Amino acid sequence: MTSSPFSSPLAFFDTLRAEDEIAWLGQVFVPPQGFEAMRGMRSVIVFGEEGSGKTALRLRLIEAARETPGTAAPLIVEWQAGVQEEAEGEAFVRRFVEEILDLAAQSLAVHLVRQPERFTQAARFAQEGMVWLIHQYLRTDKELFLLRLESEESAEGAALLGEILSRTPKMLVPPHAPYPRQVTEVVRTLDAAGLSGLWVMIDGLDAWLTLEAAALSRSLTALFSSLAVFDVPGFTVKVMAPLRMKSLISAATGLTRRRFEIFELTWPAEALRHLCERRLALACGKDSFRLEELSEDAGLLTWLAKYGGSSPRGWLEFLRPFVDAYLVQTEQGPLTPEATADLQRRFPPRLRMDAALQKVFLGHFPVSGLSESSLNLLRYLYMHPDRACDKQELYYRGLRGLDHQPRSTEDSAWELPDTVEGIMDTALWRLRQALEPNPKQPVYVVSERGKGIVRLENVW
Amino acid sequence: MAATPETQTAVGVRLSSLGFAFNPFERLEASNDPYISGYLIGHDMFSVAWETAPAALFAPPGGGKTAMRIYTLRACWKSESKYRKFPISYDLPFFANLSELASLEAHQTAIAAAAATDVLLACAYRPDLYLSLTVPKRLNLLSLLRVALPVSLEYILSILAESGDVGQLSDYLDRTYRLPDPPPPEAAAGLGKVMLQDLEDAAGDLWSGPAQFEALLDFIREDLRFESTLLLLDGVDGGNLPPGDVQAQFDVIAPLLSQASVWAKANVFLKAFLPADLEVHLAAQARDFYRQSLRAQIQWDVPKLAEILRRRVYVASQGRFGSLDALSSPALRHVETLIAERARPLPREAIMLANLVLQCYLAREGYLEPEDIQKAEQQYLTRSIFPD
Repeated sequence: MTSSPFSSPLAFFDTLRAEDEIAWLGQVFVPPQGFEAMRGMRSVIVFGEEGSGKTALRLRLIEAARETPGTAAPLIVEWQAGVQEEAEGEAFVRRFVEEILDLAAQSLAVHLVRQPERFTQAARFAQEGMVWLIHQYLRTDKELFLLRLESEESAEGAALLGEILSRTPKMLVPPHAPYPRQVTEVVRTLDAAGLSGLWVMIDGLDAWLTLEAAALSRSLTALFSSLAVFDVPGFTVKVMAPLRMKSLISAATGLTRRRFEIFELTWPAEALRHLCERRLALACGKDSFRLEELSEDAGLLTWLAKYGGSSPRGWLEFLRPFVDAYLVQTEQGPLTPEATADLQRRFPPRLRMDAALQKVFLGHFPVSGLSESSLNLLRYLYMHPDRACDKQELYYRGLRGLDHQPRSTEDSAWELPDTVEGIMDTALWRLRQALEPNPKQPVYVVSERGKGIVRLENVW
Repeated sequence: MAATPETQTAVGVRLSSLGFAFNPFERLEASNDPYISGYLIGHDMFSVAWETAPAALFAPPGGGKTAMRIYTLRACWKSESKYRKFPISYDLPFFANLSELASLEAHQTAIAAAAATDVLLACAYRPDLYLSLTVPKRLNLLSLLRVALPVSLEYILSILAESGDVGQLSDYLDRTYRLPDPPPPEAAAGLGKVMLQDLEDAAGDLWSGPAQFEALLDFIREDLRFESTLLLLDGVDGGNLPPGDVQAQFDVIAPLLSQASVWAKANVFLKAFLPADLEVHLAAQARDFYRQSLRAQIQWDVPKLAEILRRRVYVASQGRFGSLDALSSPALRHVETLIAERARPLPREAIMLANLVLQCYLAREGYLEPEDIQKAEQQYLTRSIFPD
């Protein structure tokens, strides 16, 4: 039976952020198509939608590289793009390269503190290389760095690092040497330290999507220009990038020159089901768990596939209320079809519109077949999420797109209230037909009975 | 068989069980491939690189420029002609920051670093080159190498002396530099020790950058007795210049193109392996060089690409088989040709598709089937970011 690291099984469905799941991610991870090729020595860019598991993939690639038996692991450094000022030009290249080499020096130091014999048993030239690398590229305050490691690691390892930091390094490569030359020396030094090259894992590029288009393009150009200087044997780059950047990256990078292999994270329904079941099994402390054990309703799978889309996060989010209900039952057993349907009503997929307010989604499911007038109506409600609107307002401002609501017959746009009422009843009926899972029991376009007002609910 | 990261993955274990020492299609990039020297193949355009005249060879990214540069380097050392050519690999990004290469003097300093690298590697692979020198010439060479080599000479020699492995020296200096018949470890280590000992008596910094360049050329001509020098220029599109800025690439190499005819008179021949996009710039802005030099486009047809793939299979299987046909069902023959027909006509593209075919095949049991090629082709087209 699988052991659970949490007191509450629901914790496995809590944040759904891979960063919070490192301790047990390996037990629930389902390798996407191409995983074996991605974990190779080649540089790759993996494109994926939000929630498609890019971070989980990055973390598993790191673990897989470290776990490969019988062979040396690479030194792995992680670089997070993060929100920042626009990156451009040679200044960015210099800053980026220095950051990467600083991270490499820190990681090597930690590696040697944990495995001092990698240094003490190495050839003399290899020792010189390691001393040089740490002195040359460590930007962090060396004294503080050592103090931190002294408190966290073994005394023997920390003493070795202290000794390394006190040495005068030989200048193996001049500081002004071209970056590819410096990086070559770094990689060879790592080889001599028993590591198989250097991997740089790049993630967090989603944050750059907040940049305006031209700035984003310049930033990506700068980033991939920087990566070109690392185009040396033994240096591998694994980039996790949002799918929306695919065309920009191909345009910005000269990828034909820089030798990346391209992957796109796609998840067939069967793989997503497997992914859910593995997590359920871990949560319930079982070796395996089938969705049929969660609910007797075979429609649950269809519901997940429809609203969860093709992303792991989508499926797991929609699964959460069912897991919750399953676990609080007094008598263990699958949820009944009635209970399942009730949960589907109580936890419907959230409605959202895209940034241009043109497309409508229920969860990950793109709603199609909305007429122009339905879309206008929905758009108006969506833009006023915190209040109910009466039918007059909805008609004039939402449906007709006026900037005001006529108050008297003197206004040329004014129409008889009964006419407006009739038109709006029909318009709302059409909207619900297109939108609601059950138009008779609407969960999105909800009327307040007797008040003649309408509000949008279950909105993202 | 040595364990490498790739042979330890699930796919790697399967590859190993099939008789492959490594994945023949894992590496797309000649400059990044430790096995490249094993599977280089000839090309009609090689004669342009081999002639004693300045030359420009053009190819798009992935079109085999670096492979042909390496092939030329090896040919220089394999040739039994009395007219000996000394190759200098001038792979730009490794010897200078491209944005700082605006003058001939800057190039001469960088070429001196490249020449020092290749002279040292030549001595390591052929110890007699060094050991047959008189002591004053040895000291002269070492003092030159000390200032011109892009890394610490003492450090590099200590690697040779301690490891006795000339391959390790290549790893540090130029991974693509692998000559046939390397010396045994004891001979290589012995050379390293002798050179380290000699280094103690070598003079200090005697030359400026451009003077280092002239002195090294003199050394190659006078002391090593090579009749000519081939300057193999590569990596023009590999540095940190703005991607796709072809004019910036041209500006970087312009001083070399202007100097090519002067060097040719001294039997130093520029062999420029250039991105295809640069040709129009050369035609318009370096007219003399364009008119007076040999020129060729490196192009590939299906039989040639198939030969590349077969050669890789042969080397990776350590001669066990020469084609993926050996893994195929009876319904499937000439696998490499089928792959070459489906890929864009560039070596890197054919190798990429071949890798996908191999991955599809390795993901299941049984023979390699036509379905594997179809599936791989679909993935190849899906993953492509080429505009077509």
